[in-house]
Amino acid sequence: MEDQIKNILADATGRDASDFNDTAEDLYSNGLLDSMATVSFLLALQDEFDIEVPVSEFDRSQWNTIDKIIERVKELQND
Amino acid sequence: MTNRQRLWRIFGPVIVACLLVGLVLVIPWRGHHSAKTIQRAAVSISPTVFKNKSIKSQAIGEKHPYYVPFFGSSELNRMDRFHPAVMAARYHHYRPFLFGAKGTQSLPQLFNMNMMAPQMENGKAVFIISPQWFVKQGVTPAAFKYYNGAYANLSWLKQANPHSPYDRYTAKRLIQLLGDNGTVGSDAKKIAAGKPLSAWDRSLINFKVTLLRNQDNLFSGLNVNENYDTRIKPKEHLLPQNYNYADLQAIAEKQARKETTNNRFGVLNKFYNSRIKGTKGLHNSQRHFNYLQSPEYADLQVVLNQLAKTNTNVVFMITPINAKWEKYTGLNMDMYYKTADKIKYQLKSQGFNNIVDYSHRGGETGFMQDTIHIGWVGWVDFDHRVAPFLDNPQPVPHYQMNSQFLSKKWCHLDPTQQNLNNFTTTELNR
Amino acid sequence: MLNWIASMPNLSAYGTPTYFLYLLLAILPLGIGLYYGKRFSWYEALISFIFLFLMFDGSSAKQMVSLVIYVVYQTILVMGYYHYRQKNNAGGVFYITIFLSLLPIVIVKVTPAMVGHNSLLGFLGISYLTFRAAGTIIETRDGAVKEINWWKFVRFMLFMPTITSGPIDRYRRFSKDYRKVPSREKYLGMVEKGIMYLFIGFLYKFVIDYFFAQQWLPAAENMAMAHGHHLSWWVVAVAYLYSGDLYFDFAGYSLFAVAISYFMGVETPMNFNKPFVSKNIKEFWNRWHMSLSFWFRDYIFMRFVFLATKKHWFKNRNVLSSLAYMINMVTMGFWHGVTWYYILYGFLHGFALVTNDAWLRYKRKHFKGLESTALTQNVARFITFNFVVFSFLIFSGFLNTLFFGH
Repeated sequence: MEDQIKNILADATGRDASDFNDTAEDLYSNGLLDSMATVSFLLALQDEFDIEVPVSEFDRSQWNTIDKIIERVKELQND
Repeated sequence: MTNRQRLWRIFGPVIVACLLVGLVLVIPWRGHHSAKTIQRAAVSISPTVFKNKSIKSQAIGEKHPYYVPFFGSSELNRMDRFHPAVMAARYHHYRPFLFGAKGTQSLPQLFNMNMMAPQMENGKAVFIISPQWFVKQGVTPAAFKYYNGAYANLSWLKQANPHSPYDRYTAKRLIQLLGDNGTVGSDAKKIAAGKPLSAWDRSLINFKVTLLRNQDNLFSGLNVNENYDTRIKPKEHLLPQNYNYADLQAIAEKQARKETTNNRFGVLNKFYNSRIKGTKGLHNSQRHFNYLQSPEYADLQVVLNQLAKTNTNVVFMITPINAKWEKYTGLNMDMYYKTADKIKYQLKSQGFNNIVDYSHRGGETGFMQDTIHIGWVGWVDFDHRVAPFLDNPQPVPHYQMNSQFLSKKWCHLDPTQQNLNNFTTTELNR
Repeated sequence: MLNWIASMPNLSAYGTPTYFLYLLLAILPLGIGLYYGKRFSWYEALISFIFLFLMFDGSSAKQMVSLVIYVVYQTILVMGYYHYRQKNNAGGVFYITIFLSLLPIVIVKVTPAMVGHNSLLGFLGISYLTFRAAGTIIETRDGAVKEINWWKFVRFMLFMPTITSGPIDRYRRFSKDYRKVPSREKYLGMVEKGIMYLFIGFLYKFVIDYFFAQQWLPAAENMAMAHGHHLSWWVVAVAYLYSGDLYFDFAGYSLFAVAISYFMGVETPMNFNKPFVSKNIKEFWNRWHMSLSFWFRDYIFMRFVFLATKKHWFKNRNVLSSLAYMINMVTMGFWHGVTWYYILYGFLHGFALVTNDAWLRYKRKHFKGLESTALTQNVARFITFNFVVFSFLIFSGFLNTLFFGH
């Protein structure tokens, strides 16, 4: 799942997957993710994992590292 | 860490800070100001100096340099090179300490004087009266509040005498202007009703006055504006070395012509551009102005009483109005002259005999700087009249105060000669 | 009744040291309660009511009437929509509800531009209440707001420390805080932070801003005006001094609001985070008036992009993001008021965000080797700061006074 997510992130931000090696790094404070990329990323996540993430449920502090993203996706899949 | 320790760590610094601030405000700081600060404050015409005490009482109390209080209103801000502060620096021994700006009518001046009463004792002063003060409602609450703070009010209440008709009158005016809530309001209510303040009232006043006095001593000298350096000092050398009245008048007239070229009223070009040009509805706008009936007459009376109390030798000036302007706006000049007469009657009948009445001189070239404020030639003439009074010893004044001038009857009186004679026989000589 | 209200003394929020004295004394019992694990809801409602009353009585009495009507209106809308949403979810109903929720503020903002005087509907803080209400409706539609009752909603709308100028909280966050009492450990931490914020606020608003607002800015404005109705170097001074005034005034105020909220056991979000160290304009909007900027980001920008991407309205992402930035910032401009300078301000910031993104793309392509050093970062800060100051000069409306003299 980690690689899948890294690829989606790379797609959404127009960067290399290799930019996303550190899974505990804050993606917002280092400028990798912004609001624009977030939307593409969320839409891609919804397609890829067949989950529903309403924008208002999207709390940045809960989605700002790859580790946390994996956790959230797993939660939503189990819902 | 226990919760108790944690609470201490959170609130300890706050408590210490509050104690320190309290301490700073309670320690009796000596409010001594440098000669430079006083020199700047004397021409700052700022509300801070006006409502506080330490700077002005030090200035008026010192013999050298010899500061004379000039009480007035907005004309004091017309600082051309012939302004009394510039003229005095160039030619005279005294230095004017200016008290007044737009809105400082009689009542604010009373509270101002009261704060330096001991220093004014047996001294001299100049008092400029504008007929424009004598409007139907007198001084506005906004102007009064702007020039009059808690320090002045409380200092006045502290010495107010409930048996004096003057103090009862002043207390009533305080309530009208400030409302009757708070310490000032409730204490003023007692004085107005002729009741003395209780020991508790006095200790509360004393406590507040202590805090305010310390703030005054600590801070009033810090932020004096630049008037002296920008508007007074640079103009001193523009005046001729030696005093010659006729020469000065000629220079002033020339200067006035040079600076009043863009309008037919003979007012300063800048003033015309910013205040008259393009403003509609000025023509005949003052036809119904009336200065004959006003609470200001009684307000003036409490000021006169204060001057009598401190045995101050005062020269009064009654301001003129620009003749071309008054014709344009349709001001009734009969009314204006009668206002001056009523003021003079009030002054003279109580022994205030040094009066410079300019009410008829607003038509002379260069006498007025704008619509209602004297400048250039006017200032030169004013200086010529006032300086000898201030620089030379004068006979001791004898004032006979009469509280009938506090009455509604006086405030409302139409000052025809007959009415004034009647007032003398039925009220003053009663 | 109105006469009686108009005769009462008015205490504007956080205006004087006395206000703080009264306020802190009034919330002291609440603090003691929270320390012992109790939230005295009724006492809190009572003092909130008293302080709101004092804020809107006296000469602002007419505003109080508007405020009451406004809150009743929004509560009816929100509760009505919430009940509807439990069974149905038609887009039309949602759009009508949002339209009705925004209607008062649109009227209030447009009225001065149309008829030249302020609308009678207006009151101090209407914008901030609108954000709270509209945000709640949007989250209700998303199904994120799972429970709401009118009393809680009214308390959220009228939360006293933040009513007139934010920070803008969200209903779900607020009600979560409000339902529970923080642990003693946590509450003490909040009090400690609150006291620090309060004192930084004093420093900002009553010390530093005194110089900007009372001394320097008026002096510079006078000098600029004295030079006539055209640009002079004094206008540059006005720009910097106004920016200082705006920041210290607003940041000071926001710190007060956050501090008092903390004392009341509510973690109102922060509004400012050292905005002037931002290295680009996007970072600036993550640090300046954050609760407003995040509201616009979450409810306008993100939603627009989400919709547009889902429906494939645009082939090119960059076109979409540029358009979204412009919509976002120009809307913010209009929200400040319908005047040329607010709208231009919004436009400029939208344009700056677009430019910033374009530059980042360009840099990634062509300056791959460009190291981020202290020098480049400071150049970036310098450019960002000066752009912001320029935009604040527009925002201040001073140019309007200077050029058109009113």
